[in-house]
Parts: sequence; C-alpha cells; structure tokens
Amino acid sequence: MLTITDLKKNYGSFQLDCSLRAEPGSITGLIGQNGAGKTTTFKAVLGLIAHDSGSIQIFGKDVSALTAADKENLGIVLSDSGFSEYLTVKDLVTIQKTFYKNFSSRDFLKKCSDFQIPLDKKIQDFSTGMKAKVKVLCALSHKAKFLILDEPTVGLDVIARDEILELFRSYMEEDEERSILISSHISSDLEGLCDDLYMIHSGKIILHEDVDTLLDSYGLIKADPAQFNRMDKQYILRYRKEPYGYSCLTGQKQFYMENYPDVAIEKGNIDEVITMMIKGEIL
Amino acid sequence: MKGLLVKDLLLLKNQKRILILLLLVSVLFLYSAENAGFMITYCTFIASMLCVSTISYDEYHHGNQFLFTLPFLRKVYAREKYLLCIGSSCVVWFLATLISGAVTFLRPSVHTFDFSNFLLSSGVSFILLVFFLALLLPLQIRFGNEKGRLFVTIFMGAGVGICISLESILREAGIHAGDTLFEVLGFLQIHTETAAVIALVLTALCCFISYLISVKIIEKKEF
Repeated sequence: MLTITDLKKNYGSFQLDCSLRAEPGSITGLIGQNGAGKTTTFKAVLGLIAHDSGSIQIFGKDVSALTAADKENLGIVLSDSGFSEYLTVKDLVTIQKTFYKNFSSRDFLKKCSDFQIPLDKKIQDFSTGMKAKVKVLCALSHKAKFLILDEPTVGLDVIARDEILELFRSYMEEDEERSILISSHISSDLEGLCDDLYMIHSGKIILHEDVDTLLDSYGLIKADPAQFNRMDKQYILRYRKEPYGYSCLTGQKQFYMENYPDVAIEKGNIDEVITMMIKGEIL
Repeated sequence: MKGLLVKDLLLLKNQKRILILLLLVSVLFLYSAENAGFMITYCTFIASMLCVSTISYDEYHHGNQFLFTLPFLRKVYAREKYLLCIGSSCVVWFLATLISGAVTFLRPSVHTFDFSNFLLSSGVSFILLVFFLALLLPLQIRFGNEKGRLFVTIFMGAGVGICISLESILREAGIHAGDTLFEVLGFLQIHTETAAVIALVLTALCCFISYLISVKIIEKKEF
C-alpha cells in the first residue's frame, strides 16, 4: 500500500531519514515524541513537501504521479489542518459529494448524528474534540482504501478516543485489503490498534516491530550492579543507570526469565520501550 | 475543479453581509451619481476581491495542507482560482453594465445617451481590473494574503517608476514619449474596434501567462 525507501529531507537543523512500509490488511503505527519527524513523514507521503532523495510509493505509484482518481482512495486526517473552519458540516457534505464518487451522505450524516455533531454550526465554533471527530468522519466517508492519520485522536477524551478507534477497527473489518498508517503520541491508542509499529526519533526510525512481539517478547530488566555484571548481555538493546542499579531493555524477555530467575523483569509496554530506546545507552 | 468551485462558493456564501452592502451602495450610486461608470468599476472590483480572498481562506489555520490532499491536481487549483476570479468579474461586470446602462438610459434627466462611449468606459475599467487580477493572483498564490498585497504595491510602484524613468531617458534622447503615446491613443480612439480587439487579445495573453506562472508556483509550493 505504502513503501517509503530511504526518504531524506533536510531542514538544516533537522534531517529526516526513514524507510517504512504499510501493508494491505494491516494497521501500521508511527510513534515518536513531538518534533521527532512524524508530521514531516506524513507531509512527504502526501506530496505536501518535496523530498531531497529516496522514494515514496502509494498503490505502487510514485507519490508525484498520483492522479485525482488515486487520491480518492486516500482518507486523510492531519493534526493541525482540515476543511476550512468557516464551513458547516452541511457544507462538507456538499463539498465531499463533488470530490468523491464513493461519498455516502447517508452514512456520513448518520455518524455525525451518532456523535451529536451539529450540522448547521460553523466548524470554528466546535470544541476541539468535535473538530477531531469531524476530521475522522470525513476521512472515513468515501470508502478509501488507505487511511493516513496524523494524530487523529488528539484533543479527544478517553471515551471519544475509544469510539474513534472502534471506527477504525470497523473500517478495517469491512474490507481486508484496506490499510491504515496512523501516528500518535498516545501509546495506548496504538497498542490496542496497530499490527506493527515504527518508532521515530530525531528523524530516524529507531525501531520497527510487530505489536504482538513488542508486548510479548520485550521486557524491562531491573538489575542491581552485581546481577548486571554477571548477566549475558547479547539480547540487551539499551540500558540505563538507575539509583538501584540498571534498567535494561531486552527483546528476549523469555531468555532472561529462564536464565536469571532472581532478576526482576517487567512486561514491556510501548512507553517504556520508547523511553529506553531514546534515553538508554547501547552496550 | 467542481469540488473546489463548490467549496469557494460555499465560503463566499459567508460574505452575504458584504454582498448586501455592495448592492445597497450600488443602488445609492445609481440614484445619486450622473455617471454610472463608477458603480460598474466598484461592483466588479469588490466582487473580484471577494473571490481573491478565498485564497486567504484556504491558507487560514494551515488549511492548504489538508486541501491539497483532496482529489485534484495542483494545477487545477490555479485554474479554479482564475476561473472563479475572472469569471465572477465577468458576470458582475456584465450585470452591473446592464443595470447601470438601463438606469442611465431610462433616467428622465438624461436626454442623450451615448451607448458606445458608455460601453467603452465600462470595458476599459473591466480590462484594467483583469490586468490587475493577472498580476495579483500569482502573487497571492505565492506569498499569501499579507505579503501578496505588499508585493502588488511594490510591483505597481516599480512599474510607475520604470515608466517615469523610461520617459525621462527618452526625453533626454530627444524622443517625446508623451507625443508618441498620444498619437497611439489618438489612433486607437478613431479605430475603436481595432483598439478593443487589441485590448482583449492583450488581456487574454496576460491572463494566460499569469496562469502559467501560477501553475509553476503552485506545483513547487510546499505546505
């Protein structure tokens, strides 16, 4: 669905250098701190910025060669941009009807009613959560094959976030060839939704892993200095000095559980993996 | 293109108050002024500026980032803006000319109505406006609203400056540009039809060149 190969973009103080794939039938997550390069990657994928080198292919075509018909198969949510806020949701129905052949006014209006979104009010008068919901509903409204979602749940409360994530799951269930690329800094969103995850830091992909593998095999070892010194370190990805000794990130939790039963090992979660990948040191 | 046009028309719908004010002022001009020419220029200018303002609406709140992910090609954006601005100017100019022509003709105090003179002055104002749009649109697309206006002022100032310097250089060389200009204008005044054709061809050419520049700008622009 999407293949990014050695994409490079230089902004002087910031360099983006990433490769990424989003496969049909899967939800790919891109996670990273603010300013890590998520939005720059999305902008490059959407052809909003030119890139210095590398290639980006969507539906097997270079992104610069996408036609208007190809773009109808994309559903987009951008964190800080959307339809003009001077428009009403009713206006959006008229506009989307002319842009997308597969736009379904009935489905869109039904979902708006489910989410209690007023149709005649200008978007600029909506709450942050409501604006976020409208953006997501627009992206889902025209049976796109590929959703590109940059921070779609930003500004939403827990319940609204769950509702939106459920919409993404239903969207995927409707057609197994569909695919989603989603970025978020809320790891719990991605943990329960994505099939695989890319972590980006300072413009570089620092980790790519299946979410199941990440949750099952990754772990955080908490060792005192003596335990740390005698430990086999071949599966330690990062380590960090702590007041009690060392915390170590491993991708082979089972190995350490079996061989070092006296060492405390915590189940990995995305937040801890990110923190260790960014702040930890390599042995 | 249809989607973009629909979007812009829906945005312009929000300018109802300005449109109503425009109508009221126009009616006032029609009844108070002997010369209805001003009303035509005024209406056409305001209508075209309202359409140009849709470029600023697109930019507001980083709107262009999302807009340019919608299913249209970048050159279509430029095409739509030209169609909207010049098209709406044409429609408003035509309606304003028709209404003010009819009112002037029917006004009891006016005994003689020189139709060709009326059409000429109205046509000249329209052509000048389209020239202005041909200059304004690429600048607005490239620099946005505030910087765009600044550049228009600089460009127009530079244009006047160049004309004045050129005139003084020619005068020093013993050529009276003013005389030549008057001769050309005198010729065109006699041959009105030729003048109209030349003006229309030049306007169309300027618009086309301006459009090509805008396409280049929008295709290279980063959001």
